[in-house]
Amino acid sequence: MSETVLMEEMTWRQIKDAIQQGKDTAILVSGSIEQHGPHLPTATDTIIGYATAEAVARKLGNALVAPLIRPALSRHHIDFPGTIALRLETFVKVLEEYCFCLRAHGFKKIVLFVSHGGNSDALRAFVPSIAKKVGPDLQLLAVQSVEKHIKAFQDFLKTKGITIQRAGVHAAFSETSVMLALRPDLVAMDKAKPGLTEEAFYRPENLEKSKIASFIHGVKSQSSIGVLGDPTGSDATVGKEIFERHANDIVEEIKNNLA
Amino acid sequence: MEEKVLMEEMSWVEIKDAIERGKTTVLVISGSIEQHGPHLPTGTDTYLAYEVGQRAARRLGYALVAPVIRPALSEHHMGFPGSFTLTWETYKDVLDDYCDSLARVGFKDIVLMSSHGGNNAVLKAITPDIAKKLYGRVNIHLVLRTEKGMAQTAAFLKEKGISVEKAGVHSGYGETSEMLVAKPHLVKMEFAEKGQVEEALYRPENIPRFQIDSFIHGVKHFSENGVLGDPRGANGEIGKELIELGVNTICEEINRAVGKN
Repeated sequence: MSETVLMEEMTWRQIKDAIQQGKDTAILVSGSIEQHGPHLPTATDTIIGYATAEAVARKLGNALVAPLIRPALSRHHIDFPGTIALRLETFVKVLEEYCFCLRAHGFKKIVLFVSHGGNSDALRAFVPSIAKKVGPDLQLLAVQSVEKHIKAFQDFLKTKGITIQRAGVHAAFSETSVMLALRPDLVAMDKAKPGLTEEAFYRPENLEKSKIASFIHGVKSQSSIGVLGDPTGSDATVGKEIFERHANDIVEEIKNNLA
Repeated sequence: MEEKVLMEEMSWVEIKDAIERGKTTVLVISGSIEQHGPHLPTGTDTYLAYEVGQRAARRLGYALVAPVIRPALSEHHMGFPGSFTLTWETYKDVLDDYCDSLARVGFKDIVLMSSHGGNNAVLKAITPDIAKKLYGRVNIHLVLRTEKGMAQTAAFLKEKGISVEKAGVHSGYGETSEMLVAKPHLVKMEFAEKGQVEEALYRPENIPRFQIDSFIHGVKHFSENGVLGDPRGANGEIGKELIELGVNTICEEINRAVGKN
């Protein structure tokens, strides 16, 4: 087994040695603890976030993974048991304090991304002010907006004959397939049911409006079971490919943006 | 297969059903991400929180376990790479948000616990405020390791020939033995080194002073390698008994707190 890149699994001396040997980039992912339909666990975004961060860190070769931030911004899922939501202010403070800790340990770069769409706008909005506070010794880079990720898997799944309303944006074909590739033991396919499958909701030009509607009215008003899309027939092989493509896209964006 | 009690491994429907079937108590444990010497991972307190939380919830039969809160309060370990800390203000905000979220979905009792001593004083100080805010929606209880529990543990180890300074308070014989049960593949016994082993520091009457001094000067001031105690020779069999002792006392305390005797 290759050596772990997760800081929480490492001792302080391993982390110190790794930084000194040039692993000067920390990967900081914001996930969630929130409902993911009747068939996926509430830690779904956290599990996918850790796996993505790990894959990205290994591909980069000069990075370690910070303990993933969870819970985070899930107010729009709060009507479902098991969802834990931070207020925006709390989330931003947690994010900021993580960055200060990483600076103290000598990291030079922090790459931030989300494994939960609800965090995406806040991350983009607050990273500049956090960067200003932590100062010039530490470079912060937020990569992969959730819109970019959705567009990528919609296009890919279309080639497999999966419609955008089936691919979905929450606990549907796309996410469930990824979970079947990562943690099949936590997926109950016998409980998977279609949720909101109105095509217009998922058109790229409507996604922003759909997201705001989720924030205002809560996801429960859009799907009583908490599924946006249709998870039936999800496929681990397709999930593995979605996962790999996403990790590669992130790595490419990082390489294009960090010296 | 054993019944699931970790909320993060359950779907919202499973959680809803569990609450309706009487699992109306939720354990909210604060752990840490902080250095644990040259032989234990920085996630040690978090792993032990899950281990104890899961065992306690199964034993109680009426409880689920919330995702462990981490990072928490580890300012005194920041001299070592890999430690993360929140300010206590942010820690309180996180706890407030957790409890508010959990109060919405039918839990009757929230039990606040800690697997990391550095959280205890602040947790104790802020619990009344959280309880007041949520009064009428959910009952908030605080269950920390009691002096009686700590004395029991010390007596058990003494019987096995382990002194208080070897048992230690951070990454020593006691905690390392527990980790050999919870996450053996993350324990590197070949790197286990003796840390701070001055007997006087570990006498029960001196522990509060020692703790304040470690907050002021940082743990590094007392131990270059971050170990308070001596982990060498740590033993999984002893670890199992230590965890069970801890779970027993914590379950007694929780039963008393939520009124289920």
